[in-house]
Amino acid sequence: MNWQLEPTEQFERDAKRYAKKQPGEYLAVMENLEKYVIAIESSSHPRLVQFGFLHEEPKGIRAIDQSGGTLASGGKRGKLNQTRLYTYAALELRVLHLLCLGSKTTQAKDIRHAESVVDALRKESGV
Amino acid sequence: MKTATIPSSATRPKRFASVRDLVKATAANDGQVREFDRRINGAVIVNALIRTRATAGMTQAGVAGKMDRTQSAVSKLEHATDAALTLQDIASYLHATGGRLNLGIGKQPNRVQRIKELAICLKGELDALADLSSNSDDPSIRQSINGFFGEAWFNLFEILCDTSSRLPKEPEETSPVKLLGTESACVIVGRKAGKPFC
Repeated sequence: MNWQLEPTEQFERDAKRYAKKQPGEYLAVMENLEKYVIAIESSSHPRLVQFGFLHEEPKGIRAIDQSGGTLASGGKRGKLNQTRLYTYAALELRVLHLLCLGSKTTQAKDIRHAESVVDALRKESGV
Repeated sequence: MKTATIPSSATRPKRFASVRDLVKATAANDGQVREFDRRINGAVIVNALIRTRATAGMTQAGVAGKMDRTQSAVSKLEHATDAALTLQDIASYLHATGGRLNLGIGKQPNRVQRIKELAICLKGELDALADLSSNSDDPSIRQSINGFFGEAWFNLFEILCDTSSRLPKEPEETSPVKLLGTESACVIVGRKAGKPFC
């Protein structure tokens, strides 16, 4: 069974805002998310998956940044602002929760928010 | 302002089967979806390479060590487009991750030639498995290989029956499909009765 992506309402709002205001960053994190999903689908455990764009955060949260990559045309990406997409992998359900999306300046607040969502998810699933 | 609660089960957000579906739902316009598609379609080989690393449970540093390159070179390779990869990059990455590379050069074969080539490959692999079973002292290995041969025999037969049933019928000739179908039925009975194949 393949992994499914479950965005929170907050994530959907963030993603739509980024797509409109910062399309370069939006596409870059989505491209990295695609690579992450490909890797966790082939791996026995998401924890074993490692990339330069992945950052470990508390409570099993992993943040995907905007780094790396070239354009399909072969040219390099322009300079992008620091962006973090916060994820939480529920292995038993094979669901990758997409918690929120933000910049480096909102990082502390975003992590607090992501942690509160993970707490609620864990409580709901009885972990 | 971030909301700190998740929706209740009744109002849980929908799930997406792929990142592309997610992009389609959140992109600002169709152009962004097309750009995402361009990037993903331009990295089919790269993503297949990443898959082999994940399957092997290796880190970029581990792959780099085996490739005799730096971790940052491997990271760069995993972010490249297919067009930027060299055959040496691909071969060396796959050698490091234990992946497989099949490369065929020559005149494009027609379907019949292709089927014959595949049949020769298949025979080679089955011969190797049969040798493994014959030379093994482990009964569990012999048992699983024998079981696999039974399944393979049945599946290949089913494929042949299924595809040949789509051939136009020739009423004056004995239909090979009918004969195959009868044999196939025998196999099913044999399996259910727990009798060995072949």
